[in-house]
Amino acid sequence: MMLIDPQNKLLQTQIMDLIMKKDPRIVVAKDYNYSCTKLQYKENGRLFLSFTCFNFNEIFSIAGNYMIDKYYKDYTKEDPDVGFHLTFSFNVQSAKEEPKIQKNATEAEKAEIQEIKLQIRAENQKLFEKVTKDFSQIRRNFYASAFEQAFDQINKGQTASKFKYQSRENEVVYAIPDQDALNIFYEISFSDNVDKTLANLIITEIIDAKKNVKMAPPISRSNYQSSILKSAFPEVQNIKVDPNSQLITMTLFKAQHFSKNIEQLSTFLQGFRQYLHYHIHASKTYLHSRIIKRISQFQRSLQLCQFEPEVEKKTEDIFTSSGVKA
Amino acid sequence: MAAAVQVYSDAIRKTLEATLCLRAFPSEIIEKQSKPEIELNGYSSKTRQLVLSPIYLCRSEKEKCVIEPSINSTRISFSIKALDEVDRLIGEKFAKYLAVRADYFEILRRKPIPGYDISFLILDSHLEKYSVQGIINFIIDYVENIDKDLSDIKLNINTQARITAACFVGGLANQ
Repeated sequence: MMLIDPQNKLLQTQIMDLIMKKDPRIVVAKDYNYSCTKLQYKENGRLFLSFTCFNFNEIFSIAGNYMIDKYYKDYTKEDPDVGFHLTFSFNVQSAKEEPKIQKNATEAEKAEIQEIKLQIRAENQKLFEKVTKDFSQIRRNFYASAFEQAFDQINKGQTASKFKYQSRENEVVYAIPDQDALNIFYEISFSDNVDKTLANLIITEIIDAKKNVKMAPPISRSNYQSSILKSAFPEVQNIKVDPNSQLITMTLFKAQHFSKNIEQLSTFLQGFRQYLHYHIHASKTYLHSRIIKRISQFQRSLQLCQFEPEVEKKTEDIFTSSGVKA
Repeated sequence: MAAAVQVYSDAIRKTLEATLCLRAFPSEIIEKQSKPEIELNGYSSKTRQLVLSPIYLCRSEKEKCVIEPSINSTRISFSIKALDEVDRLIGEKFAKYLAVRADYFEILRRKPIPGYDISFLILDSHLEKYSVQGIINFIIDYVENIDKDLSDIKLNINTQARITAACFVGGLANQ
């Protein structure tokens, strides 16, 4: 099942379950881009989170430390688990323990302890929710960190460095920062004809959407001959262009787009390909269901034109007293 | 729009009424075999008297129909209007889904003839199972509704794409 929510629903439910039940077991969740997340609750009361993806080293070299500082500094960075690139752990026992009501306690003491209990329970709940959020959206945090770092640097007036990473096997994302803007080039490639047609349709609508959305960033189709792209990444001139791929560019400005909420913006940017894929899938499902419905109607109408099978007339044998058939 | 389809469908109805007078006719070439003449030899000097000239009915350049009558079979082929890529995609999908289910339809030809999107092949044996008027009504129903269905699907897909795009761009604009 494909989801576009930044938080992985499976991990979200499993993390809470592991923390609450203190159940020593392993949960592995695989996702697109060959990414994989593993959760393990060990008997020593620690919850381990491991993550890997095919382009891990590329993205980690761009903004790995930024991501750890921003989202995972409260957790312990462990040696990566076998088959994974990054492992964090959280000590579940760091949650406060609820006081017990003693048998000989007075009513006033009981009420006081009850109040403290509720307070601690609420604090623990808050802590566990934070852990759940941080752990379940590790994939989003990892992919978004490159954009968030660039936005932060531009906001602070620092010189952000350009970066590129391979988002899928034959797709690359290029980001070229300016003094007060960030140019992003997405290479999108669909090999299937249906996917390609629907992707084209959605991309055309995205390009046209600026008419209806206030402060929409400029989005357009581009190519490898774009002067901005060529000057930042000269190697694109020699690239062998895949006939199925297309380049989409968007320019985000500091004043309009990333001066306030960079998290939401980064979530959309890192998930653009997944977002496209999800909606293409939705359109295909709709197309399939409509066609199947229409075909079954055709089938029914054809069945209605069949001649009714002739029913054989049943004759009763009647015998008279003389034994002769009537 | 409806009137234009009506003229087109009326023309198809009248042509079908005239051409669907089929009878069992064993092949003159393959002994003791009863094969649809239209499929077997097509138009050749040997079958000149058994296979009539095809009748072309066109509503527009892209939306057309050819009816190929013969003594024991009639082949009817339709081309679905495709103005852009999405139209072509929906039309192709529709024809493909129908072709996969050709066994259930009996009168549907599994592979359409070149240049057309869907072909029906009606044999004399079909007329023993289905009423002629029923088959004609089925084909007319197909002609009259396919256009409407496809534009309806296209409209919904376009609306879906527009909403998707607006959501994404709205998200980028921090709205």
